Parts: sequence; C-alpha cells; structure tokens
Amino acid sequence: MTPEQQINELFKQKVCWLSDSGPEDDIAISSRIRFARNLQNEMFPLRAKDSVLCGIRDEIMAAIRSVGKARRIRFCEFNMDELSALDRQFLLERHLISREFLNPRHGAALATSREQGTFIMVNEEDHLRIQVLAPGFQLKKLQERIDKLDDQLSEHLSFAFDSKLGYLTSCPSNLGTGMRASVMLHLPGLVLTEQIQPVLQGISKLGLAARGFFGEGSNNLGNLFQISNQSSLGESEKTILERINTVISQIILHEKKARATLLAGKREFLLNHVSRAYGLLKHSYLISGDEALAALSALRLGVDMKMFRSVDIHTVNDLFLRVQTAHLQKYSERELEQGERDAVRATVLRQYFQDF
Amino acid sequence: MLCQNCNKNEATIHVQQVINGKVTSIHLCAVCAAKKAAADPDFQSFNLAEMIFDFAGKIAGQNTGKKEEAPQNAPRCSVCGWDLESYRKTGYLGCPECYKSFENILREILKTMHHADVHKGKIPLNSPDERPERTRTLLRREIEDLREKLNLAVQKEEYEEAAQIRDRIFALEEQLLDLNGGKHDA
Repeated sequence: MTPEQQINELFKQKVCWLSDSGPEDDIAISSRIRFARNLQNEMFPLRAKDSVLCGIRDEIMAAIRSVGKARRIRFCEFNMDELSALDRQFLLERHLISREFLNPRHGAALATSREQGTFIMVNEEDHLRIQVLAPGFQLKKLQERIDKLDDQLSEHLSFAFDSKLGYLTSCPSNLGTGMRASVMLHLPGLVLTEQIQPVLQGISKLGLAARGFFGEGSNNLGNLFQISNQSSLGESEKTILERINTVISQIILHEKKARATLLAGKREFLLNHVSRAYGLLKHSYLISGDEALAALSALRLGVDMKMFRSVDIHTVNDLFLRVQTAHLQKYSERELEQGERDAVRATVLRQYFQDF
Repeated sequence: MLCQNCNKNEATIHVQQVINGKVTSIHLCAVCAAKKAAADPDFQSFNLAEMIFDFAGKIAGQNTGKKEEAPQNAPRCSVCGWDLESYRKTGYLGCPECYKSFENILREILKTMHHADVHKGKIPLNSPDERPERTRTLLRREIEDLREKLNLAVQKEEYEEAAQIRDRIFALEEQLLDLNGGKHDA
C-alpha cells in the first residue's frame, strides 16, 4: 500500500478515543499520556545529522515492529517526508502528530495503531514520543498501558537515563519522567456562566496548564480545554497523575454545577443557545471552521443535557474532526481552495443533520 | 515596580497585549513570567529558555560575583559541541551528555522550571546500575505475569501447574517483602 492509501484507510477508520464510550465522557472527551524518550549515546534530533537520524528511525521502527508483533498490534508506519502536505495536515487533525511534523526533518516518522489509540512519533523533539489516548477520563488505565509499552520498547532500545535526572530529554522542560498527561474537557457551562477564567487561573496555580483543542497556541475553540501537568521532574508518575485526577474531578464537578445552574435559572437562554446552533448546523450553506466548532460545542451541550435524544455525543465528537480542513479534502477526494471549504463543510453538516 | 503576580520580586518583564484593540499591560518578575509562558499559549512567542536562562545567569552572577563569561571561553559539551548560547537561542540541548556538561547552570534552570532537581519516577528496566527500586519493579512485574498464568491454569483445571505457580508467587512476594524492609507492597 502506498502511504496515501494507508492514510485513506486511517481516514475511513473510526478514531477509538472519539467514538467509544469512556468514564465521564459527557464532559471529559479524552485522556492522553505521552512519554518522551531518547536513545543513549545519540544526539537529540535537532542536533543529529540526517543520516544518523535515519539510522535511529530504522532502529526504533524495528523495535516498534517487534513489540507490535508480541502484542498483536499492527502499526501503520509513515515516513513524514514521503507524505503530502495535505496528508500531514490530516494526521495533525487526528492528533497523531504535532505541528513540528508539518515541516518534518529527515528521519521523522510515525507509527500508529489502526484505531489510533497507541502511536509513536519518531525524531520529533525527542527520538521517541510514545503516546496513548482513550475516551473519557481514565488516566490510570492509560498509565498501565503506556508503562507496559515503554517497558517492552526498552527491551529493544537503550534509553538515555540518569539516576538523578531521570529520562534525559531534548528540552529540559520534559526531563525526569518525560511524562505529559492530559485530559480534554468540554466546558461550555463554565464558559457560559463566565466562571472559566478563575478556573483556568486556579489550574495554573496548581501546577497544571490549560491549552486549546490543538495544544500550544490554539485558543479555546469549541470550549475545549486540554488540562495537563507542567512539570515532569521531582514527582513520580503516579503522584503527578493523582494530582491531575484530583483537579480534573473538581473541574468536572464545577462544570456539572454550572450546567445545572443554567438549566434551573436560564432555561430560555440555554435552549436558545443550543437550538440556534442546531439551526446553523442544519441549514447553513457556508460555514467557517470556527463557527462550526462553536456550534458543535453548543450542540454537544444540548445532547449531554438530553435535549436531543436522536443525536449521540460520539457523532458530535466525530464531527469535531470531520469539519477540519484536511478531513473535508479527504472527504471530497481532492484539494479544496480556501473559498470552497466553507461550502463543503456546510454540505457535510447539512447531509448529516437532514435525517433529524 | 513589583511583580503583579507574586508582589515580591522586582518586575523585569513588561508585556503589552492588544486584544481586539484593547491594550493591557502586565508586569512580571522572571519567575512568574516563566510560569506564565509555560501556562499561557499567548506567551508562547516568548523564548522561555532565554528568560529563564537570564534569570539563572543573574543568580549565578550574584553568587560568584563574576560577570558573564566571554563567548570564546563559554563551556561546550564535550560530546556534541553544543554550547550554552545555542541552548539559550533554541531552548533545546544537543545530546544526553549536555546535562553533565552544563550541570551547574541547568540546576538553577530546573529548579525554576520544575521546582525540583531530582527524578523520583520510573526507572528503565534495562538501567545499567543495579538499584533496589529496579529490582522491585522487576519483581512486581514478574508477580503480575505469574498471577495471569495462575488464573489461566486454574481455568484450564491444571491444578498441579497452578500450585507450582502459586509457590513461585509466594517466593517472589517474600523477596519483595524483604526489599521493602518487611513492609507490604502498596
């Protein structure tokens, strides 16, 4: 199969962390853990020569294949520089790669399971970025999964490790555990009741960071917030995860209260907010990406609050992806000009909602 | 002017934000600015490493009374040749050995970044140095695997094999107990 055919297979494949059910998934969309690892005695990707990086990639890919075989996971492999810009954008929208991989260096690669819940970026900032994703709020289960994967990879690869500093990473901000754990939360209640700012400030005081749907630099499109640990050194993985768990549970509780307050005190406001969004999604002929995400967020709130029994949250989750530009182009099976995208996006949404 | 976040340190970083035509000014000390840069996407355009580096450099300067070293004397990593100036510019180190080469300056940076400078987490299974924590991890994992095997054996009604596995688990648990100084594993 050519890389493009493989990408098209991924496009058809449902994304497990969006289409399966998980704990608290009315508010927590997904949980993710990433481990940063580097090979012993090798320069970090930024500094290493292209030929060295390609060698490192081959070594890591061989290890991933062995582990995949033992665990019966079939990994799809991609060399980043063999993919078109559109296909790279598609992988970014699926959260399988970072923005850095849009302009990849030689030797940059991705291995992902078909369901896209386990994947490894090779030669990004670090030699390995091992990642696992699952629907809902379930960091503990994810930790067991990534821990095992990391152990199995370490049977084939020697990771750069120092007994005092832990896992050595290209950027000192990831040093130690090399772990970043995050939960993606949908918080329209806190946004509508204007409580989100104090909550976000509180989060940063507790040593956690809040980012948008697409990580660093993206704002709170669609009322989606990614909450993650900031520091990776000085605490065990377990302690860091417990800290995140406590804070996330609190935020979920606040969001539930905010939703209840809206329903009790501002019923018309809430109904108006949700129904207008539904109208926009169902009847638009031109709709921008930001507009679509905002409307989908409102619709998801309506679905969570049992206003729309015929729509389920996994479908709305899925639409969060399908309205993104690379997904629209994959759907159309051709490249779309800037001006065409809003029309195609509206068509995708209208087609979906005409049945309701 | 004092930092408006901590109200303790002198504000050395002054930021003007223009959002929808509205101008807001923020005055922060290096420590709070670094924290904000890590937490707030709007601050990402600031080079975090550069700010923290300046801060750490100042502390080092205060302690030794020395001015910044001239570039030609600047320390380089003996393995990859990376220098502090390159780190300052990019925010990245060159190779794992850089952590040893720039140990002193990094210690201050790590304290600012993580409020800690010692790793307390996972140890790789192939870690070259033998330490009790690693043995514990290995023991725990072996016990876990054996428990799975035990369940399978019981399901298949292979009781003789199950008994052997059970004895092996008991033996390993005892070893783990010894390593923990007599305390049961949490």
